Amino acid sequence: MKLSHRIILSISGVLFLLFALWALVFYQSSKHRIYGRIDKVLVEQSEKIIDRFLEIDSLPNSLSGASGTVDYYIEKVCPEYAESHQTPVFQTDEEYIDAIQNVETVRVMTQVFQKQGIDYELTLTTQVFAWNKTLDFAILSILTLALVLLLAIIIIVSFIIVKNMKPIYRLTEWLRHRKTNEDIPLPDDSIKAQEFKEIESAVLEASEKSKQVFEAQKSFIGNASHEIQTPLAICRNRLELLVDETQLTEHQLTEIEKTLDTLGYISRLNKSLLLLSKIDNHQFKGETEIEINQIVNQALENLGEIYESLNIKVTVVEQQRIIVHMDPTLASSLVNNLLKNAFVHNKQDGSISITLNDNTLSIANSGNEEALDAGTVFQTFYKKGENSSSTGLGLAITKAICNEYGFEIRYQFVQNQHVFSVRFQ
Amino acid sequence: MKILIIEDDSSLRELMQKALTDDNHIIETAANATTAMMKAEIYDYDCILLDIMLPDGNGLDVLRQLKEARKEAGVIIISAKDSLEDKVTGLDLGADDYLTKPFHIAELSARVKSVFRRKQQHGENFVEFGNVKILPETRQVLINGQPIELLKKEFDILHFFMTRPERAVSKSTLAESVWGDYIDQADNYDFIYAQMKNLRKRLTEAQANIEITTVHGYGYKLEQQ
Repeated sequence: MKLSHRIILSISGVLFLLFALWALVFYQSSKHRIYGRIDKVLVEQSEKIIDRFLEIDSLPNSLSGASGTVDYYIEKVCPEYAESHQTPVFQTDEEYIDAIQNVETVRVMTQVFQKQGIDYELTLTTQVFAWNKTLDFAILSILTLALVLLLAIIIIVSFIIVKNMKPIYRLTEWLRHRKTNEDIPLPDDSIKAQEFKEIESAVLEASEKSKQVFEAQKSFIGNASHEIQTPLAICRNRLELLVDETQLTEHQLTEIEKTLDTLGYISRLNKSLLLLSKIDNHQFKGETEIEINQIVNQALENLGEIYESLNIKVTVVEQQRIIVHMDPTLASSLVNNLLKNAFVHNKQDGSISITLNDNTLSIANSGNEEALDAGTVFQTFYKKGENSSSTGLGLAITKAICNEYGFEIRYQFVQNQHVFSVRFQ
Repeated sequence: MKILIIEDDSSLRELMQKALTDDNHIIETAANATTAMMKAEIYDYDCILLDIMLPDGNGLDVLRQLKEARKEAGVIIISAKDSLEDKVTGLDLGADDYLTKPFHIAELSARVKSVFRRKQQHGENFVEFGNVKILPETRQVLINGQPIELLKKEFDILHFFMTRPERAVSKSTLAESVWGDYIDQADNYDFIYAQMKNLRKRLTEAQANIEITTVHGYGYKLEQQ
């Protein structure tokens, strides 16, 4: 939920409650005052009626009749009842009114008085219908006003919030699009609010720090790999000189050859790591037009020679010439790694089928009859089986290259075939 | 040939010196840019092996100064950096070759010889050993002056050995040089045998007086009969 929405929702909630409470209080107090006035009129009327009743003896014992909007009647009551009802009683009641044929709210007053030792009770009834209507109208007006006010407040507040939050949105946008190794200037929008200024400076500081860490890491990986090359060269060259200068037995020579092989492996590992870190750091900038078919055929020629003993049947279906714009080194690295993979993880008398169509290169190979984990197969140092000369970086490099250029790479296991396909966009 | 080795790592310097002395070169060494410039200004060298990362400066600056001083020595840059840009920069500045660490001794020896040849043969590039002569640019092979036909890989293998005669070369080195990156997961080098067998047959048929002998347990060596 957006901050502006939250603020508006909270403000609306609180204001709504306040308005409701205020309307309730207003209604109650208005009602109280109105009834007070009605009661005053009733008291005046009752005094008049009682005075007249006391003066003019001829009035009937029990009387009811209209006197303006006030109806009244008098009835005799027993002394016990009179004793317990000394003070006038006011109450609100519902009554059926013949004139409008409806139930209406009425105000009723009862008062006990004595005439010649006999207790009487006077009951006065008046309609509050008109008053209620006025009150209802007032409340409706107030509610309407409140609603309009609420709407206006919401609109104004959201406008203010959106306007004031703009720098934050821009800052977020900037953060999202910023790459660690690139300097994109922060959008200049003259932030005025103190808090935002602080956020901005904190963000800049953090970004600067992460850039420094990134640079340090980058140069560390680069330097470490380079530093390893010299001692590697020394080891290799010492062994080679030893072979050239000394008469060694066949066994010793075999051991040296194996050591050289391992040194070669370390050196390749080192180069692969360097390549991987370079791709991840977007350090390949050169782009030329490259035909994937050509790289595939060239790689097949070489790999076919190397893995001749496996007697693998290779079929290539070229339905399309796939042309891409990318760095030539990365293009061959991508294709070679995938093809090499298809040969290395194959079996005796196996097969490889390569299809180029629909801007997609797919390579299907026989091999271990068990699907690989599509989730981890592209991770660094993923190794399956016992191939000790595999660096476990080939597929990670392929994936990194695809990510760099926005190609889609997929692994599937279909009909006992491992299928890797790259879709060039 | 007189060679100046500029390399700050003493162990590698000693090794390079040893290897090139074996090839009958006269070697001088320098451990930093200052000594290197001093020596290069006083003496003339046929070839300078230049490390890029030096304790007191960048090897490329040394190269620039050498070119400004119009020194005629051929320069081979030796660097741990294996990136295209670095190579291009080095070669643009007038270096003759670029060798990436870790390299093989045989490779170093071959590159030095190649620089020397270019100087001696005035641009005409060929390699000769025994009665065999190869022209790398046109991929021609002449035995006793007679051209013979070789397949692509056979030529590559012969070329590789011709530039490092009399040196034992391990199977992995040969495979890496001829098949490049493709072999980096191969767990045996059986595929070399077939190529080698054919190449030997061709050389014998054409009556070459050189042969590629097997160094058991290790690899091969090109020798004169």
